[in-house]
Amino acid sequence: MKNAKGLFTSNIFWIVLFSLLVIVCVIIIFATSHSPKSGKFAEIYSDNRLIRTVSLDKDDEFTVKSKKGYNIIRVRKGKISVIESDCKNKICINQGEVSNDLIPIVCVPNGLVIRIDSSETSSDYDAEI
Amino acid sequence: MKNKTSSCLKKYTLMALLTSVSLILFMVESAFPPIPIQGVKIGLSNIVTIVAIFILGKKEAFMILVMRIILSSVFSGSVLSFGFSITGGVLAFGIMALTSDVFGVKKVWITSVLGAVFHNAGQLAVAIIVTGTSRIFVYAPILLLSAIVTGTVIGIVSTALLVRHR
Repeated sequence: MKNAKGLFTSNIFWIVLFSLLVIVCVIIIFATSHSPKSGKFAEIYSDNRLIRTVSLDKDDEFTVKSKKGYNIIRVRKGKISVIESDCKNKICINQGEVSNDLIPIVCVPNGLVIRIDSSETSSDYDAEI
Repeated sequence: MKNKTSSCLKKYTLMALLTSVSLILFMVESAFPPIPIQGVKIGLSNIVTIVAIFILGKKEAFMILVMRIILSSVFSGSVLSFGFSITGGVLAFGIMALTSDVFGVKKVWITSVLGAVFHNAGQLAVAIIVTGTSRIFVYAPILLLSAIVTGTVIGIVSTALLVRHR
């Protein structure tokens, strides 16, 4: 009985408990912050510059040219994909259609990045506390 | 008789003083650059609550807390912020009053962390009720994390104050 009470009131017990809670919280925060969120807009970067923002609601097809090469980008049914590229590895094409912000489409040889802007959907969380 | 009146007077003066200190700490904190995550606060006013529990007693500490919340809502807040503050404040006070005897002055940081955790839990509960969405629950780990960190800091400061008061 005395031991149990001693444990409950000891600094070590609480330090360990709170440290564990902190670790669990950090893990949860990291896990949830990377959960995919879909968005209505895609941002297209060429050589680290935002060159175009396209709506995913409207089907479209266009070409992005840079000094290094070109990519043909297609928007269809709220999803965006690269359908043609003059790069060697074709990773951007193989990634297929993307509609969430988890992994952006990147074509390293041509310096192209397509990122989904999920700020509109995430604003639902911005409640007053 | 005279002695009793004088000690009573001393007590009320101290209570008034602590209430204003608490209010000042609250104002100082709201003047800080806002923390981007909603609901995360340092909780400087909690120093006063903890100190008051030990040097004045639980009843007096509770009165100081309620006065501070009413006054701070009048000065800077709204009815909604009053609801948030009073729920969080009363919950935090409850757990701190219960555990202050167990942990004493030396382990005040544990009391302080428990208070901060309950404060944030109360605010989260109010936020879920007010907005009617349980999605806000994603804030829970952030709030728990911040409660443990700020609670520890506030607890250490309170210990330092209480040791000097002795």
